[in-house]
Amino acid sequence: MRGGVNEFLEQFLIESRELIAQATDDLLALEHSPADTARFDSVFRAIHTLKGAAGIMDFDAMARVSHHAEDLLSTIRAGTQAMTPARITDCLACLDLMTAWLAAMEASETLPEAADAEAAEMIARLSLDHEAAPAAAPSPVPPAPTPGESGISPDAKAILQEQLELLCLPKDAGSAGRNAAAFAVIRNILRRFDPDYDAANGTAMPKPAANPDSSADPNANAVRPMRTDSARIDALLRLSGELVVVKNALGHEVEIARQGGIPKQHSQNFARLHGQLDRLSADLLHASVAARIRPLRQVFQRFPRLVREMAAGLNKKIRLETEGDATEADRLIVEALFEPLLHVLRNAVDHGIEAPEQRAAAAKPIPAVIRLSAARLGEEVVIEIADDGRGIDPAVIRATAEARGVASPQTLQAMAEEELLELIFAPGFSTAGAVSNLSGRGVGMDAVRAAIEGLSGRVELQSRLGLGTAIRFHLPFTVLLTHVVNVEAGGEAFGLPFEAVAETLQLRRDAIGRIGAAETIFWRGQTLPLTSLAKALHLPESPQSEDALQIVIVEHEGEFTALQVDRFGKPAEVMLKPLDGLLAGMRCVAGTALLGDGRVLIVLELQELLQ
Amino acid sequence: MATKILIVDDSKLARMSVSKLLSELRPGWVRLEAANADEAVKQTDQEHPDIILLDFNMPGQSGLELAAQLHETHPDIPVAIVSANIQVEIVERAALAGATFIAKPLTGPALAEFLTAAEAKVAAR
Repeated sequence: MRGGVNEFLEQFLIESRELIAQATDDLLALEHSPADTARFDSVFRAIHTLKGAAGIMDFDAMARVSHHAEDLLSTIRAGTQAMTPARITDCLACLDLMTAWLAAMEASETLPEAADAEAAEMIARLSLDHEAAPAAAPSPVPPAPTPGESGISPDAKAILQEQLELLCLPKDAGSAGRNAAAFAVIRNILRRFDPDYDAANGTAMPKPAANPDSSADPNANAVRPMRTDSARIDALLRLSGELVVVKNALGHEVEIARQGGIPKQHSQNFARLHGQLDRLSADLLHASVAARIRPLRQVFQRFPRLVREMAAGLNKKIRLETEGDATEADRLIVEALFEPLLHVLRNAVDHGIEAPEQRAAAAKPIPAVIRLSAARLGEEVVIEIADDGRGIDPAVIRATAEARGVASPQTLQAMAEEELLELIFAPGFSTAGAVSNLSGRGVGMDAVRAAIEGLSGRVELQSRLGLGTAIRFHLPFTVLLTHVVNVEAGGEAFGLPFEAVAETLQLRRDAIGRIGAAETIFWRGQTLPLTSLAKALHLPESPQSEDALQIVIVEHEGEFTALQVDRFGKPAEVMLKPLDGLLAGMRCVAGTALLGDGRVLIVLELQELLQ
Repeated sequence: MATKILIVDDSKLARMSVSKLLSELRPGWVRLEAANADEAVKQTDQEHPDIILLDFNMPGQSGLELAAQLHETHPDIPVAIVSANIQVEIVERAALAGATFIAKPLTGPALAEFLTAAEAKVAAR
């Protein structure tokens, strides 16, 4: 792909995002167990490595910020100050800033313009905080400024000097950002010396521009470098799929060559080489599929931070414990899990976990715990979100369902508890007494269920009143994409396995021959039986145009058959879901797939069909 | 035979950057890479590099420990420890482990100086 500098930039983005994710994870863990030295070493190392990476890229602003963050951590390690939540928030803010810079760098392929000013502000924050609150003797009143000739500390003086230099820089596109940053730094310093100080326009001042959405989810970009990566892997997978098709076609030619009487020596070599190609293409396909496997960490790692923020917004104390994040699943699943997991976690934070006073009254521990865990069970990956909150009250569900007209009072009275819980998944159902700005109303658990079922999975719910709720996603380990050729017959859409389709063609009615009662066509020197797909599936046959019959030549175990269809669609890649429920055991059907527009495509199995 | 140099760093970005510097300073050399201490030991045993560049700060075994280990098993291979922690203590410990200390971020002149000294040492053995 792109070489030279961009290759470095690409690697820099990948590594920095990994390091930021690691550091975030460590900081959140340290918030709950400040004495965890392994975590401390890990965050220290991550920030140190970020500094090194920034140095390699000549990204001075980032190198300076990480250097100061490292210094802050050094003073904490040395015991000069403690790892308090405020300190953790500072470090997280520092990582957020870097995340925003990385996004800007990815977009523009240059260093972010406002970085110097933003770095100065961040460094001021890291340094000021670090002298403001010595751990040993936290004083409720900020210490009075050291009386000196100028009345301000040397640190503050240096920082102010730095702002002055920034403000003197020539006016350019970065000026607005620099001004805003300098404003904020100076305001912070003034506040430090006078806690009551408030600049009149302090809150009205625009924030530096580079950080638009990152407050919502600073790690939203963390998985992005994988996308570049996965596009390549998908290309590999597609190519290996096509190689298999070519290999199959070659097999056919090998057979013809053998019958055509080429010398035995050549025929044997031909067959041997075909055998090797067969094995290699199968291995390649297997390897490309394996390359799509990703650890669930890639989606899990975004949640501790989000749960921390959601809980803070609701004045709840919640600890998110994650377990089994090394469990692997298909990339498609890992990437698609974020939304449904976020939704379930929001529900847990918002509705599941009680307000602190309610928990205290019920003698339940604070912080509350939400466990996000994953495990591989046979061919399934099971993900569970379990909270120790209030649980779901069947009586509340019954009342809500009645009020919303989901079912009649009689039906609801007759329903068992488990059936009532199932109503949570009914479209538009919400049991929250108050609408919070976190979960709101609208999308509900029905959307979660639809998303998981779209991944060929299923959702389970268990709840015990007063003890908590657990929601489990059962998902397939691999999601094999099946290439299909879409066809229509008898007014319905069907998918045919791509490997089985040798050719699609149009024939005039008068090109159809007859052998007894059977219709035939002549194709590549052979006479093939012609079958109407609609008739084979016992569907009404649509009227056919006389001069353009749509024919698909399919191959099954070396035998070719011509299928007449109404129409061809585009080839597509679909996620095949095995038949269950009513359709289970139906012959001729390999499985179903959910199409992009929500329709269900039935993928046919030729073996049964052609018998 | 071309001189072989092994670059040990858990950051691929750092390895890319050292490799680029080396390709400018010693274009004819064979450059090997390892992402951790285990890989470094394996590469050393199998590929017999002439010179080794170690990152100080790696997960698991640190650059210093690895340098000490390599100094014991392969005393004739010149080893440099590259570190952004420029502390007297680390410089001293590097020397004790029989390694040269080079400051990070690595610059052309600093690397060239080590390479010249290392070449002399390799030629003399």
